[in-house]
Amino acid sequence: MEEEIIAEIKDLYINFYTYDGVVKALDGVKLKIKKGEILGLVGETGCGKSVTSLSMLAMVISPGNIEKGHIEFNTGEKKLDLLHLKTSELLKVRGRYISMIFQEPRAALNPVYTVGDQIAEVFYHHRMEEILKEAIHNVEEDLKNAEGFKKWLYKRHLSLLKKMLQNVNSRTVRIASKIPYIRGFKKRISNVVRKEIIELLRTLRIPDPERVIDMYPHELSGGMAQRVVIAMALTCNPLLLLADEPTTNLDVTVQMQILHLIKELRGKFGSSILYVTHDLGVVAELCDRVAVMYGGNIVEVADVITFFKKPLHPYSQALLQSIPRPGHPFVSIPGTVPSLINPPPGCRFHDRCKYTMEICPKVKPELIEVEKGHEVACHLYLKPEE
Amino acid sequence: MEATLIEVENLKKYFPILGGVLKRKVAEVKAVDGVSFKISRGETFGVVGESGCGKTTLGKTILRLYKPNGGKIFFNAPNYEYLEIEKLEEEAKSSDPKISSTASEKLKDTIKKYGMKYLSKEEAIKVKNMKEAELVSYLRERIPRYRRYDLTKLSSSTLRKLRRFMNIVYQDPTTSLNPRMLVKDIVAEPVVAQGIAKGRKVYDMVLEALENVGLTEKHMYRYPHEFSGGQRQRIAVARAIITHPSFVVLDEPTSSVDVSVRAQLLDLFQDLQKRLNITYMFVSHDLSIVECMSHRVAVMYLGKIVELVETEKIYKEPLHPYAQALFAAIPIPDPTKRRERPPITGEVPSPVNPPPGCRFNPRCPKAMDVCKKVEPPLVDVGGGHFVACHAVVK
Repeated sequence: MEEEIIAEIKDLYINFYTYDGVVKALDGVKLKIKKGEILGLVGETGCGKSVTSLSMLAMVISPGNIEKGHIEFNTGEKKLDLLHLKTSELLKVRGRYISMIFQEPRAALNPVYTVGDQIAEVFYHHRMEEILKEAIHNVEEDLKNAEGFKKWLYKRHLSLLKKMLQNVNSRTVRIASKIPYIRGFKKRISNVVRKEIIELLRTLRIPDPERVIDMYPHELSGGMAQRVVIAMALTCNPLLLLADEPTTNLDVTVQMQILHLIKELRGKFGSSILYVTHDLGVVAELCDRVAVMYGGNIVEVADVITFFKKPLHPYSQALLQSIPRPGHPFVSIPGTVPSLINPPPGCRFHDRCKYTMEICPKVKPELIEVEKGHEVACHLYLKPEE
Repeated sequence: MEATLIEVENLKKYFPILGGVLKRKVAEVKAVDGVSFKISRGETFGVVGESGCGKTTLGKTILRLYKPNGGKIFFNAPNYEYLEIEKLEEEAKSSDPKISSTASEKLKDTIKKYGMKYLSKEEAIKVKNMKEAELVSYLRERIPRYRRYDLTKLSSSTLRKLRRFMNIVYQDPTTSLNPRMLVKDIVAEPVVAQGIAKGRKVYDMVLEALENVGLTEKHMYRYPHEFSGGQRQRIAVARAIITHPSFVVLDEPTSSVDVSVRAQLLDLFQDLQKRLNITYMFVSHDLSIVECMSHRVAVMYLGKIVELVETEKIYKEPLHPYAQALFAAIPIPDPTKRRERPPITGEVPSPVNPPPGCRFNPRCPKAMDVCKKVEPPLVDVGGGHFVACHAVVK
């Protein structure tokens, strides 16, 4: 049976209009992400990995422009085309179904809000209903034992919370939130959120979450800040988690902790993960499948074991050989990454490739399935009759 | 010429934290806290550790770019006085009478100035009765070719004369190269600043240095922004080797370049080491690169060396629990070899208030009572394998 596909990028072209010229960042990217898998997206600097992951949240902003293409996303109930959604619909997808872990945790966190405040924002945005129900439940519990003024007050709280359930921003609620004592209903909501956040931080193995929740980002270490960012991304059990080099700036021991955590969370939350990285060691450690990018194209897709055992594309082969091994001479890929303003014609790797043929500079190779689940874009593997 | 090039004894470097209205010192960051080791001539000495463990500070302090707070650094370098005299002698032989006459005048004075301090008491008395020509030739022989300098005690002017024998390549070439200078000026800077050569000779030296790193004459009249990351780092390397140093600190030289270019740079470093007989101190947090580059590796944790041994041994079976955890955390680029060992918990504590006793004890799986009280010394457990751990050294 065919595995369920959660997101599919279909023939995506993205250009960046800079003063130096048009940067053709993505040049017909096709990618499928299956349900529950960790897909590693590998490539060098400037090959379009990050743009690919950003495009899945429709977060490519000026000077970037999506020229053409679709991203189909399956929420389980319906299929969405992420690139052609209204902003209001997009806001419901971001953070709820798809969320992102950024590379630099300190830049991803707002320095003037505490950790708790920042994570709470996601709760208020996407999980208000659950929170309100929980708060109402708490008030009802309290009402049983309350007497006199307290009983009256709790009744007011209850009615306001119920009103909020219908309309979060109703006029009554806004006015009530200014009246002393009665505005206590807001405290009930934040108490519930706080409890949830502490629970979340605990699953991320943050020591002493009651203290961390009131800290500012600058008080956290790099690894801790990255955990907070991951916590923020996981608040709504997203179907798809985009991780854009989340461990690049961390130390190896902390990186190992985070990788372990991501693996564990995948089991617990069942999200699919698109893991963008340039470290092949991390890919081998973590991912189920690998997609290799070069110069704005996906050049090879394979499951991780096949990829490390039998890479097909010359670029993948060179990339694997360039991993330093003790006792072996260093192997490097001649030349440098091409500028995407004037990319080489045809196959973009042809001027650094060992096996360049006559056809390579002329025709751009398409991604074809060579074996089951192993796709490659290279003229070497085209069958002669095609 | 001695086999040991650098000898570091109990080196300490603390950075003050200033606070309060009067900006007084309120605390200290103990970046390097009592480190001792030796580096042999011609070897690559790897230093690994997590960020904030003091590995970069160690490199910079050895070069005396920071003033250490304690300890000694011995540097077996060519005697700069000898080289100065050699240079003057060469000038004295020059065909231009103007240059040769001033040089030979200067030569006598310099030999007298430098030679006197190498004489013993009896020799000093003997010298008093000599005629000038005899004295000069006598003193000339006394000036040794190599000397053992204690870098912590030298004045800045002497230090500047020694700078040509040691240099550093920084992490990020985009920030270590001045964007407003031409490549030829950047590379020539050490030669000009240390007064080694002038005019046409500088040009020749720059060209030689650039050719050594695989660049050509046409690259001389460009600015750093016109180069790719790998080439930029080559320029930084050319600047470091132009004075033919015997010791170069490589401070994470490959962390800012891509995987495919990294191998080219590592090749270059090894090639230069063979051709120019340079000793490296290779500072990096990328353990797989250090494994390929270094002969010996020192593992640092919070300003201390916890283990020091030949590369093969430490990668095969590290003894210190921290080294074990560190090496176990390297992602292996082979999906069939998945490890299920849980990673070490916690993070590096602040170097302002390091834990008492062994600094690793709060995170250590083998921590005992003694670890919290007594700081383990770095002990040789056999065959030049140094470990600082109570559990290993009984």
